[in-house]
Amino acid sequence: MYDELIQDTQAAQKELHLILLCDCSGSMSVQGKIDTLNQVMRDTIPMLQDVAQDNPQGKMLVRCIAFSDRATWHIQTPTSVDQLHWSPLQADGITEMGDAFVLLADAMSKDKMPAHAYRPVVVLLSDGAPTDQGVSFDKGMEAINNSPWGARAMRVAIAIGSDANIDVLKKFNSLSEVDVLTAKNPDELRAKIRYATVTLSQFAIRPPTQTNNAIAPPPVPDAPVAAPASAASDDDDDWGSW
Amino acid sequence: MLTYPNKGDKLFLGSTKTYCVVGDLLGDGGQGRVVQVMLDGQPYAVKWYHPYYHAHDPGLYERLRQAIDQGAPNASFLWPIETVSSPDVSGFGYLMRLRDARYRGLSDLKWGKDHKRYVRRTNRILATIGYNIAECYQCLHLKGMCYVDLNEKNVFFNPADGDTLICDNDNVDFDSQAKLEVGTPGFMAPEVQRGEARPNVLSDFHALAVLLFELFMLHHPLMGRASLKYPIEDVGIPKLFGTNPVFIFDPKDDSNRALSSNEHPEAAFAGAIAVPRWRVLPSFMQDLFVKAFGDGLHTPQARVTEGTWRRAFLRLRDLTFPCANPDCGNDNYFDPERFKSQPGPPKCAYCGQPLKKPVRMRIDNRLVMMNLGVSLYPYHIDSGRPFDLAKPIGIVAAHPLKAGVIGLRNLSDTNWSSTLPSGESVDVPPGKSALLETGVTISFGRATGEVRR
Repeated sequence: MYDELIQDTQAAQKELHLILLCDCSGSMSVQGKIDTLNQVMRDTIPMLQDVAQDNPQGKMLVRCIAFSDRATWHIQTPTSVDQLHWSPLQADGITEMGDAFVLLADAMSKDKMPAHAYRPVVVLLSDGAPTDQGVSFDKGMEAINNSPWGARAMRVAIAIGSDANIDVLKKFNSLSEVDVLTAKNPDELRAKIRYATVTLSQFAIRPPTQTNNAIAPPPVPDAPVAAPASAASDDDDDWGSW
Repeated sequence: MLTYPNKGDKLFLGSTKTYCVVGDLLGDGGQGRVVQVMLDGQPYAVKWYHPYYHAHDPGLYERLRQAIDQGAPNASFLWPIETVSSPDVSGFGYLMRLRDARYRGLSDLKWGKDHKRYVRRTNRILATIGYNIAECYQCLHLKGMCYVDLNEKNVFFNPADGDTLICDNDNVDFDSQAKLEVGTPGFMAPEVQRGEARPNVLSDFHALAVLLFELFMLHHPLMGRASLKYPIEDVGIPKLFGTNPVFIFDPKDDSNRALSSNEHPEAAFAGAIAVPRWRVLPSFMQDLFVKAFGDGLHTPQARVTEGTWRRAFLRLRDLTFPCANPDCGNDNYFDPERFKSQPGPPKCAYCGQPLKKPVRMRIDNRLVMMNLGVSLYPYHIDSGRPFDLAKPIGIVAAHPLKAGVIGLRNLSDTNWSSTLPSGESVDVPPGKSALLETGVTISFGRATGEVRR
């Protein structure tokens, strides 16, 4: 029977959803924090692309929610990392984190996610505390935990600067092995975002494990991590400068 | 103290004053970073461990020293040459050969045709890669060592000739003393996945079988329809790979059967890509996988060993022949058993066009497709000879003047004799060619080959 010819098609590729929740409240504009965040994201995309290149069994899709006075999709369509471009976030307003959680929970519902996928990675970045004027933090968390994929996601919070409320952010974390990641300077932010996005995505697609216990994510690096050489390649088209 | 060496830093080899100089960062992985270094004007690579990794793996340094003392099992291993350290950087790393940029990762085979990382390959090259991988791990195991965390990320191949490299040789230990409990889901043997055994040579056998299956089938051997019960990938791992593993082509148990693409919308996750590939795999090869993922799942001693894989892959390779359709470029297996069971003339499994019968030779019970450029090796003409692909004894070549006429050039240093269909006997001294035409027989000394086309 030759009803099914062999074709050079892509091997099975499950989706890995990476969703960023970015605090864009007014305080993020102080001392260029939002600019640093934007730069770190631009810097991180090539590393995510490297992970995608090395893992044909995974299709890495990125979304981003920005929240201040309210939560909106900064990147709404799940975007393949190869096509991902970072348009800068702007900071202004208060910290309606609960709203962002509701938006996330909705995106993590059964009908909005594929039937089969890797464990999603959700990263919350904030420099303050939720203001709770709309949906409260706790109500938002409840919505996440009631959504099938949100409840199962690897959720990690990154506290930017020294004013973030770590105790509150801790409630967002779903990995017992990973504390709230703190970033007090640009190098730390880079290292922590890299860990939360690149390392955890890689881990979701292909976890290296210990044999005798549950699958544990790799430890958080205790030093800033350099970008691979490929991420800092020269721009061949730019002949105007060195 | 720094935690990682920087560009321009000197790293000292062992306890000597010899040093290499750090160049560009090549990669950053779970265990450490790999940087290029220069030593005596030659480029090498150094893997430098993350500071936190040492606590994770206290036996690392001694294992590295042991591996260095033992030396590489064969030239395909990017084996630790020497440990390196620096007075200015905490921790250590090891020096190894640099991987040539032509080599590709095994998982690159999973990219589809329209992806930039797609690797064009033939079944002949795949069989060569399978043979080489099996040979490498056989060499390692014969030294009494086990690899521990064998997975697709450790193996690289040259798409041009199937040459293979084995990387990440820092978990390697003697089988009886291996303590390290690391593994990659899907490659860990069921007893290791369940936490009942430590990785050892027998669990390497399982990982090797998974690797070889994926090489040809592009899908995991235990991810069939039962895996569709688990929407989130990692939830199914303990059952599918540990407590209840079932082969997707198990002839007796269809609970985890591979699904064809027309059977289920999510069939891609249940092995749809493997279904047509499995169908064309000759039965002797299917039998090995059925054994590896049948008895072999539950009885580690019943797993398929490297020698068996090597023999099978050479046999498989000898059966490949190119499709006659110039737009196709793929090759098929010459498999009379399967051809007989199919209605009508055999067609290419890739393009559907009718296949053209290849020129073939039977030497004792061994069948070899005599495609242009194919070499014969000592094992072909003397079953007592070990597999050694270093020096061919003959090569199939076109007649320099007569179009369509092909011959087998004698590359050995002994005389062959050939008998033509007319009964005429012809001497074939070294350097000369024997005609490859139906009815011709070639006497190689011990064995005689019979040609058909």
